[in-house]
Amino acid sequence: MARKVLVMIPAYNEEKTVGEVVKSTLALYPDFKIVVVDDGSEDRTVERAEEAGADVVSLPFHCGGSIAIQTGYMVAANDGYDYTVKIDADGQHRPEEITKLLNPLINDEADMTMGSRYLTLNDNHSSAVKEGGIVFSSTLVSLFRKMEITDVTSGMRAWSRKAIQTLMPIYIARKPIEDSVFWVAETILASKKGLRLKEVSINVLPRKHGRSKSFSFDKMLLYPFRLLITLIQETRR
Amino acid sequence: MWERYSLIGVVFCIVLIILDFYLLRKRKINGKGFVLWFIIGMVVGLLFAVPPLLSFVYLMFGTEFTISAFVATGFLFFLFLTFYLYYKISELHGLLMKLAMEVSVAKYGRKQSDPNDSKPKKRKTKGK
Repeated sequence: MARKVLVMIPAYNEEKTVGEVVKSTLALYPDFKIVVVDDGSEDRTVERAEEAGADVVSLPFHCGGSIAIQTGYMVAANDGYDYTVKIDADGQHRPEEITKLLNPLINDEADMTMGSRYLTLNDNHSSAVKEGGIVFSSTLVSLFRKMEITDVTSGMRAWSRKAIQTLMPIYIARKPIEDSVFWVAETILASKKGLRLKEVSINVLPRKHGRSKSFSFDKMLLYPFRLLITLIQETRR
Repeated sequence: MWERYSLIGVVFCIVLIILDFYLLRKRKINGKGFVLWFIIGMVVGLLFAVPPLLSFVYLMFGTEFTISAFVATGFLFFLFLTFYLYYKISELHGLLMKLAMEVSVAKYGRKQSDPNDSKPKKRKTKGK
């Protein structure tokens, strides 16, 4: 029996890249459902995504990345998808690597897979500060949860139906998690709930247009505090 | 060294910081808000505990008035009110985000079941 796979692409003002991302994903996986979660874009992101063949879920205003991702989870849970994959709309994630994330789920080796930029020696196109932050947070999570994680902030992930059904009610019941620590919180949460996590090696391409929305000076300044707070909050419960 | 209002101020700031931790633990405020109010609590607490530090504030604002217990209590009340309103806004923000998610998923579901239903319908108006 064919399995239902959802590829969710959260997007905010990504008119220059979202169409290409959708087209290349659909070309590789014509049977997969592509859903772009528009996070209140002010440009032509919605039109570009629809022209390329994706379904679009539009948030009424800019809510932030974590809300867009949780909206994608909601679609996956409501429509009963067997597997859900998340890639970025900026073209940094390569659609051909989606199968790498799906294989451990299909083979029942894991409930949630995470793309890692650091499992093998790759050129990651990240700044030294950003890389330092990733290594620091991955090390802390590994120590706190006694597991081996090399790239806890990676946004290229895949979930089985079980993982979505486990995580979704928790997200609905609690206050939304902040964007900058969303992946850290989710990784800890998933591990605490007994979901099997697995990292697979991926390559991340440099951004072609615009600049990263997840990295700014004030975010960088507050990040260590937020990370520590998240670790304490998630580990205590 | 302590003034009459020092004890009130220090106790207030300890309560503020404890409340800040409590709300963070209960996920009622986010990390940014926690850091902000923790710093405010520490700074205000320090100023009340060591009143000579206030002389810098006097210098900065160019005033020669020394702080009275009445003004200090008023300031603490104002600070507490702002903290309470911050917590309420934070709580409502969380609810608004959940509502936004549910509305967008419901709209998407409706569009899936009836693709022609994606455009908003014009409301019929009575009268002229």
